[in-house]
Amino acid sequence: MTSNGTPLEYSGADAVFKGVYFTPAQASGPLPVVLICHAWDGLNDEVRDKAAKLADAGYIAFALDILGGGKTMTDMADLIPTLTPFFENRAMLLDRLEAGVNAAKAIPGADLTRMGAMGYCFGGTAVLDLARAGNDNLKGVVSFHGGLQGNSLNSPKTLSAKILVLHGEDDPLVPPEEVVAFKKEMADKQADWQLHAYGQTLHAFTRPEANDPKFGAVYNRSADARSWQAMLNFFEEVL
Amino acid sequence: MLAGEHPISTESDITGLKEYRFPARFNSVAHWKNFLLTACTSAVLLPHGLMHPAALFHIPIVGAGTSIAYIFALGQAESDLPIMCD
Repeated sequence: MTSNGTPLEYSGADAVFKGVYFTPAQASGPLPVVLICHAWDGLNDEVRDKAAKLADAGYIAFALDILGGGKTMTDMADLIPTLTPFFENRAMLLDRLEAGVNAAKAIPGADLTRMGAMGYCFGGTAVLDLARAGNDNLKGVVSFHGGLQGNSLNSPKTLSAKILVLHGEDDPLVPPEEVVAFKKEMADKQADWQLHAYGQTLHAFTRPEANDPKFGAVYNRSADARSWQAMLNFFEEVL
Repeated sequence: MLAGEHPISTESDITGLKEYRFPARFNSVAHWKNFLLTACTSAVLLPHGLMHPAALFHIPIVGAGTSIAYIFALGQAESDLPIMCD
């Protein structure tokens, strides 16, 4: 069992952020840290549950607040207005992510030589941007049903962080041509990358509340379980 | 800019705007946004990556440097009803 989440307010970039971290109950010695980047709707209870579950596996799990102020949303009408500023200004997104990386350094017991990141949907794109930026603090990143489109920011010739993409093969938000472009980007960057595509699987396959086939977002129990295990295997290897 | 903060434009002011060119820039619509805009209309994606016409409403708002949320806030809209001009 994990401890209760510990709030961690941090600032940087252009806002104040209200993150929370979970630690294993039987923690001893420095522990690897995994940053968790939420989907478009913010650091909600679903993300906290994921963080607690990850802490049960032996990690300090630090859920970031990318939107700022601890803002969460439930109205789909807020989706495009929420995401547009980040996708039109990926530098701003990166600044906020790096503020989270720096904040993690203040967590007691954190082994800063073993830091990774994972994220869902928008958060999946976010952790890939951290890898693209060549952030030396990160050993590996995992994207769950995240967008794969690259950015135009400065990036090193090669990427140091290992990359795992967990993708729904039928995700209408991430079409095949975007996957192809991502593969080329990773090859060009000589990245250590892998992509697991789950068949018969749509967008948001890890979100139990997702049940909208017409929209292309449906929970998939087996893909959820397999992807979680794939992430654990990955972090065990790289952290 | 809210009405009443500037004097009413004269006819010459208006006619002087003929052939005025706004600063142009390219604006591409990412797939995810085209998908969501399309889904908002309960339609299916157009073939060959074609943009849904709903974007013709969305893009000028972005190009004007504002947002629907800002317009709603400006109009003090607190419901799903449209903003009406009295």
